[in-house]
Amino acid sequence: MSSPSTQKVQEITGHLCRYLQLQRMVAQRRAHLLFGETAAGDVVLKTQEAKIVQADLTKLESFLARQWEGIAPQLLSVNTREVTIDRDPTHGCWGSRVHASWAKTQSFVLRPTGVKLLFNVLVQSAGLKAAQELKEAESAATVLRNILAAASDTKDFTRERTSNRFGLGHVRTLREYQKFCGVTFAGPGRQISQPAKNGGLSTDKGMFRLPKESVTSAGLAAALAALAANN
Amino acid sequence: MYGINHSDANDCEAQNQRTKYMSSQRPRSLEQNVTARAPIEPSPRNAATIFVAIPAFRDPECQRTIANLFAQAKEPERIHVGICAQYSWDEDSTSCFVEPVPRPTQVKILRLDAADARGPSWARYLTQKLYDGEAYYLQIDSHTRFTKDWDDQLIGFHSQCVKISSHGKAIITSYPAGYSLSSGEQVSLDERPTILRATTFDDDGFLRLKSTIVEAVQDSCPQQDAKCVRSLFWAAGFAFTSGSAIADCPYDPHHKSLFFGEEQCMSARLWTHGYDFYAPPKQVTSCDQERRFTLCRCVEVVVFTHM
Repeated sequence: MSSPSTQKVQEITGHLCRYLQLQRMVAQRRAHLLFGETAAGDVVLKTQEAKIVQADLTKLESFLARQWEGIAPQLLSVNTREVTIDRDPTHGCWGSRVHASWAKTQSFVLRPTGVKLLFNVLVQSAGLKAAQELKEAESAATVLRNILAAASDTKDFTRERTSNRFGLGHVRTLREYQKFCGVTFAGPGRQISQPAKNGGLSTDKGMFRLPKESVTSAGLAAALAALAANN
Repeated sequence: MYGINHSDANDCEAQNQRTKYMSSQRPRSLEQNVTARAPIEPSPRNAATIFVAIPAFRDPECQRTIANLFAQAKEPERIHVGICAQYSWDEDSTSCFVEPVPRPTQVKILRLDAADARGPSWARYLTQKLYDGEAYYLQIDSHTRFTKDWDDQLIGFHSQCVKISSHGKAIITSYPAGYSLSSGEQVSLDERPTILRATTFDDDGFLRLKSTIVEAVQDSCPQQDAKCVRSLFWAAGFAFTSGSAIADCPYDPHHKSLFFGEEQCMSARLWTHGYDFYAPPKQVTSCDQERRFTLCRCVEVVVFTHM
């Protein structure tokens, strides 16, 4: 079995960066959806993004098939929807440069995905000897694991909207919050009121007051604009 | 609309909520916590314990934050710390874990490789996985300093605010004042209160906040209960509330790589779950806002500069 080339590692690192961008875009749309922002789109991947993901997955699958035959189907079925953490099996192995007291903390790690476990078994069975080969292969495996985790997330987004558990509460409404805080978060009427810009405080009333110079008033802004225009 | 609404105060309701939090839930082990899907609520054995959640990304200041929070607490034995430690372990161990950690048995660490980091929202979600039924929940940044007896003060503030809150749920929150590493370990904390203010919507459509130091007019405050001021927004870098908030309104695991947008979402979610926000009448923490010390690598820049 040949080790992944540096070029291949760079290629799949590029895929990872793209997935991270997609992941962030999807997360942003999910956040906007909480406020009913329909203009931001749905939480699913847009058509072009979905094509990119599918193309990458196809490439990835063939790459895995070539490099690590038989593993790809299992890797592609990895689902990271629910994160699980376990006690660190290497507890105490903090290295000699770490203060000894850190080894007495309670240490946890994310439960390893099938990718990592399969990779370890594969490396052992293949008898990889060269340190460079191991390093490259491990690097590739880490990147693949991240890609697959991101891909799994993006797949999940295609069938899930904001669930109740991670959505708004039912004690009060979003409309009431927007009225309370003075901010309209979504839609064409999106705006920030002057009280919201002042944090709900004033300069002359209440137990806590804003310093007078910190208040941004429309009148002051207009005066500054006029002054700038005159200059 | 704004300010403290005394007419909403309902001591009986607040007490009912507290009773509910402290009710029949049996103590559960951390192993149960991290593997079970059901949310954990505060348990009776943890009547005054505080869970301090700290996400850390390659931050050498984190070790000093932990040392400081124990050193400054009035009752350090009730403090439990959970850290989502995202580090390049080979490179960072020489600088980030060289100082002793006090009370290590009270510290839980979820270790991740920095390359697996997916932004602060996901890190805070993971940190909440380390919660084990403590009565109170404090969320801070990894580069924070505390004033003396901060634990007692926060519990006191929270107790006051629960009494005057609309639904018996209160969160003490604000952006802490800044400290600078250039002043060394002798950090002088500015204890003057701050209030969160909306500034603008950014290019991604998310609300940006800033804080302003406010002037307290103590003479106009006849009631002891009226010390905290109602805040319109919630801040991720400093939030203290009942541990039940984690069960009521946990972080969304799908907000990977989300930076701006976190506070807007959590503000709306927590408020609609019945939590009122209050700025503390005096600061008990200070946060290094410059963050020039953070170690960073190329691939991490790719990820985080787009946030």
